[in-house]
Parts: sequence; C-alpha cells; structure tokens
Amino acid sequence: MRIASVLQSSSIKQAQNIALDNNVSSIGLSLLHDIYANNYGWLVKLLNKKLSCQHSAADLAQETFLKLLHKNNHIGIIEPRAYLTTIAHGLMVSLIRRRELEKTYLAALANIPVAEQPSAEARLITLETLVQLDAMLDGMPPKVRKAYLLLQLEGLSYAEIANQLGVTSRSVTNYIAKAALHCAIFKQHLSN
Amino acid sequence: MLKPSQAMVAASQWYAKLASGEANERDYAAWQSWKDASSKHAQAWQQLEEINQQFQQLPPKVGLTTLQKPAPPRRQALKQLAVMFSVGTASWYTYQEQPWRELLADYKTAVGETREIQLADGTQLYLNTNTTINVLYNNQQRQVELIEGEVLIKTGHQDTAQRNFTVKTQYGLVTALGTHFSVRNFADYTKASLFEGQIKVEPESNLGQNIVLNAGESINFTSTQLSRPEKARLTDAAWSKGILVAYAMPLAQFLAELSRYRPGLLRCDPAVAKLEISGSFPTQDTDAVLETLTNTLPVRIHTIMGYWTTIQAS
Repeated sequence: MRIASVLQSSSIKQAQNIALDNNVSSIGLSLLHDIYANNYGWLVKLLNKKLSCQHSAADLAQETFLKLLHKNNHIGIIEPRAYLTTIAHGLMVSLIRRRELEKTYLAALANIPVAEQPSAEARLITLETLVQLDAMLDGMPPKVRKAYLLLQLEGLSYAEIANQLGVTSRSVTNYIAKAALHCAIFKQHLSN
Repeated sequence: MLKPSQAMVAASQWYAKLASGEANERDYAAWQSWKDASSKHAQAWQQLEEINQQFQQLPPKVGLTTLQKPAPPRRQALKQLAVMFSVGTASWYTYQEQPWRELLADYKTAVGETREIQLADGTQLYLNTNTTINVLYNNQQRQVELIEGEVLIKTGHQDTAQRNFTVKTQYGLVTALGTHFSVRNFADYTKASLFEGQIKVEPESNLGQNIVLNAGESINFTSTQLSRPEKARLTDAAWSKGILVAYAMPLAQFLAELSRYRPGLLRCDPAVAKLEISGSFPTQDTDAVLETLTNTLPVRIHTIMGYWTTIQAS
C-alpha cells in the first residue's frame, strides 16, 4: 500500500514536470487529468487480471500514463481506453521479454563456478545491457543475427562464421553490413 | 521506420569491411578519408562504435547464450505471461548454491526492510536490508551465520557460561570479545567493522591466520586473505537507525548503497558518477532521497517500467 502511494505521488510530480517540459496547454493538462481520473482504476484492474500481480499492474498503469504524457497532442484522443490499452499492451510485452531474458541469463549463470559469480549489482547491469541489446536485435533475420553475434561476442573470423552458417564469406560480409545498419537505424529511432 | 541516411549505409559497409580483419593499409586510409570528408560520416561511424562498446559490456559466454534466441512472436509472449509471474521470484534462487539455506533461514529481511532482534542472552541484532541469518545457540557456542546482507551486533554481557560469540560467513569467522560490531557480506568478500571492544577475524580456509581488531577499525577478508585494517566509522552503522550517511561520497557509490534499500535497478550515468554528495538520508523513502538529489545536484531522474531508474546529467 505504501509503495503504491509513494509511486503515485512521485509520478504526479513527474507528470507535472513533463507537462511543463512539453508545453502541454492547460486545456491539455485538464484533459489528461480527466483521462487519468476516469481510467486509472479501470486500467489497474485490467492489468491485474492479465498479470495477476498487483504491484506490477500498478507500476505498468503508472508507466502507461507517463507514456501518454509524453505524447504531444492529447486533444485528439477520442477513445482513451483503446489508446491506453494499446500502450499498456506494448509495455506488457516488453516486461515479459525482460523476464524471459532474465530467466535465460540466470540459467547461463548456473554454468559458471560459484567463485566467479557476478555480484547482484553486476547481474542487474548485465541484465539491463541484455535487454537493450535484445531490443536492438529484434527483427533481424536469423542468419544475420547469428553472424553478428558470433562476430561481436565470440570474435570469430568471417571464414569461421561462414563455416558455422554454411554460407560463403562474402555473404557474411553482407550480413554484418546489414546487421550494423539495422542497429544504426534502431539507435537513430531511439534518439528521435 | 526511419529511412537510413547515405552516411549510415556507407558506415555499415565500412564496418563490415574493417571487422573482417582482412582490411589492409589502403583500406584503412580510404576509410579514414571517408570519415574525415563529412561530419555526417564521422557521426554515423561514432554511432557504430557506441554499439560495439555496448556489446563489450557483456561478460564473456553469457551474451551469446542469452541473445541467440530471438524474442517470440508477440501473441505467444503474452500467453506465457501468467507463468512468468508465478515463477519470477523463485527463479532468482536457482543460481544460488544452496537455495534451501535461505528458505529455511531463521531471520530474513526484505529489500528496504531493517529489523531488530533481541536474543536470549541480551545480545541485540540489527538486520539491514535484504539480509538472511541463522542463529545457533547451544551449550558450547553462540553463533550467527550470515548468509546474505549485513548485521550489526551488540553482544550481551550476561553470558555466565562464557561461550564465544561468533559470526560465520562464507569467507570466515568473526569472534566477538565482548562488543559492538558489524559484519557485511559482499559478493566476493566480507567486511567486519568494530565500534567497541575487540573482535578476532579468521579467514575460512586458513583459521590459524587471524587478526584481532581494536575499536574503530575495519577489515575486509576473503576465505584466504585479510586486508590491512582501515578506519571504521560509526556512521557506517547508522543504517540501524534507518539512516544512510555520506561524506563527500561519489554519486555512483551513493546510488549503489541506496539501491540496497529499493527493489529494482538504480543506475548512474557515468557522466555524473563522480559528483560528490554529503548528508544523512532516510533509507525508508528512497524515492524522496532521489528527489532531493535533483534539487542539490545537476541531475535528473529517468524511470522506465517503474523499477528501472537512471540518474542522468540534467
């Protein structure tokens, strides 16, 4: 309960700051306020049903409204619930993917000797890097992805990669260029 | 989707060429003059370098196994959702050596929780956030086994049987000689700090090699080695009163300490990592502490997914 109320108060402050930063008009702000007041409870209920976890549901609902705040034009929102559901759905999928990466990462750690286990802090930092990289790699064709990972993480030569994938070295060069471009586009997209 | 610029396409091709390891002097010279020809070229190249650096942050071996499997289609992901949540917490334990030790432990605090316990002989124990201990009292000994976290101890003085009071960690044994001290478990060592009286510290695999600390000293030890004693500060035990004290502490270290008291991830942008901070902060309301930071330092808070917070330059 306490956590929820702290979150709520801090995000209201955050909301006001974001609203100021983005020059949200007073009409826009009061509209937002209405959307929040009329739909927050509904959204938490909906997420709670899907996630069967109250804290995650409240967190995701807050996150959804913060995303909404970052949109420039709130006046065009006619169906707030459809709009909110779309945002919340995207966030939920990211959350699931994050959990899955976490699971795979922990399983990988199980093969490492106890003495070499990273600290809890190092684990979280690695997980975060994995989440970011995974998002960047999303949508890459499988062979391109594989070639790129073998280069970045194993440091294999193009001939070795070609051998593993059963393609020519020239194709590997192509794959790597494609992968680099894919990542560059992703980064560009992020910064805009 | 954005359309890639010509500079981005060219940069990617240069990247593929140079990464092959087969580029010669002439290739490098040509690449250099391409890069120097326009700031757009240099920028596009810089971006690829940053991506490379991100990959280098991953520890070896872990990256490939984890990233090799692409994300499943969205609908399938949603189906798995309920399952994920029900096993989410438990899976954190699977990598641990002996999960049952934690599950069967005598006393445990959650992240953000501190707790005071009084033992039968009058000894007072303070458990810091995210701490797990076992208490073993019998006719021969009084022992606290610190499995995870940090514990502060004020030993009772009414022990008629004159049993030793010890704290055991995976790295060794700390024996109290009537006193007030704390023991904290780090990932790869244990730290013992002494505020009153004396303690004896013995590394696990070398119990003959020991050192006796005097009041005001602290020491780090692994199962084979002891560090040189350093000065212990009483403020290091202020957490037992719910306070985190910092004296000109680098922001990165401050946030690492603060993150012990809050669930989720708290990161520090390297650009502000060295800013120094001083003061006393309540560990019970870490959100408020972060808010304070934005008032006193040129930083801002960026939160994603509710539990993933980064402190950035403002």
